[in-house]
Amino acid sequence: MILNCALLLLLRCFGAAMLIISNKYYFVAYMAGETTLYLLLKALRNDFWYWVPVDGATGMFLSLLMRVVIKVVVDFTSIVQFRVPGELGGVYWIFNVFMAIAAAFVSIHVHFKSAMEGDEAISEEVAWTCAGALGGSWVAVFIAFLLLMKRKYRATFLSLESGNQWMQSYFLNEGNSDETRATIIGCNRHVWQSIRPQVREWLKENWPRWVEEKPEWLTQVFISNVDSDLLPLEVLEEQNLIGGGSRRRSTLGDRMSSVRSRSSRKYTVAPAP
Amino acid sequence: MTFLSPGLSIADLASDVSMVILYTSEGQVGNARSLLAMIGMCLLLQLGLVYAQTSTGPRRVMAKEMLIVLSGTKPGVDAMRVASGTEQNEHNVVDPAIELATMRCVELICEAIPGCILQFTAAIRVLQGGKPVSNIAIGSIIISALTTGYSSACISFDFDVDPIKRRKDPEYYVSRAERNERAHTYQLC
Repeated sequence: MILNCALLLLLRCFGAAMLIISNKYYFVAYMAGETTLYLLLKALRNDFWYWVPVDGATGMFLSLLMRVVIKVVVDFTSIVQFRVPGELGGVYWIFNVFMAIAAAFVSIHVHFKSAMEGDEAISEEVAWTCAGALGGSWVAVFIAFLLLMKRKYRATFLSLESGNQWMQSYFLNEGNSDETRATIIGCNRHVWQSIRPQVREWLKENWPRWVEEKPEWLTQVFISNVDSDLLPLEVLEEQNLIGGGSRRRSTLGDRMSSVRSRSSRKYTVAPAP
Repeated sequence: MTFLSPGLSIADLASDVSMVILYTSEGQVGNARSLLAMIGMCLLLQLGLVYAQTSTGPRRVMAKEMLIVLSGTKPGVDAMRVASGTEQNEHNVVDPAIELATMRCVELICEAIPGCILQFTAAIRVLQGGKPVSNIAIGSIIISALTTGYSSACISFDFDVDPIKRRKDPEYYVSRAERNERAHTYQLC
């Protein structure tokens, strides 16, 4: 994987440098266009919100920032872990990486098309040889990498699952353990809004059992991540008592929304659903 | 793997500083400033993320974390926390492993990737001027590519070896669970 990332980085940077030397605005336009396309696709699939549990304007900004950061990182390094649906998604990861390789070759073509006679830094033949060697090596290393993977992992490169579906599957998949289902609580609420009533019901049904069994994952972090309207009433009252009248929450978004709604809040204990 | 990565990040930072000195001495002040701006941007974004991560906790924790960022030892400290199994504080938004991966991504996007593009561009411009590219410049490009590759592989590796993440989501992994095959996947490829 080290070679894989280094080879793509060299190829992409070589292509980018050739394009910048021709006209730096070409490079800016290409990066902006490709990133906008990605963000539009995410928005169209209702998959823009990043999973980190931060809400409001801060959450929106963080989602935008993280989407762009991860996209550009994959553009230049092809980190395979980011093929998960919560990041790029399998099919888009493949599309993105092959676009990145193609972009390097197109950049070299554009450079030599627009370069003045005698202004070339390196001969066209050398440039194509370098790009071909880097691109070919990347493909060879990637094939070796795929061969070293388990077959079931390879199929994930063709996944069309959205981030929301993926996150919700933690909760919805039959047979998942409570620990796995509880993962949804640590995710951004926009990602699993549609299954909120089911999550509330699940928490209400199982909380007494968890208090008795004390599973490892039922930590203070988990409890502080659960929204007040999802907690069983008696647990919420207990939490309010511990917090001296209002619950201690862990996320930045919660803090911000509690600041915004401080003047209008009527209940420290949410009304029963 | 987790521990070597911060060392390489520091080596990368050192190579960037040597390039700033080289550019300045060669009169390429614009390139030197760009490289410095990238390092500054990286620190600024890391400080912003530290704020987001610690803002609901005590102020002294935030101040301590910000000092760690400014000292340039954030990757090392985060790696130490992940390796020692430090648990997520109730005031934090994400767990230490996610924080480490995020900080690495910020380093990649602010410093490593644009730094590599800048160095390539400068080298090609030198060639355009009819001069040879110095060995320091070539070495710095290679070091940047390898450290970036290593850092990227570490992001995957840290998720790949996390038993809780593997248990929760058995589909999205990279390597086989066996140690030898995992080593081949990460080190050879």
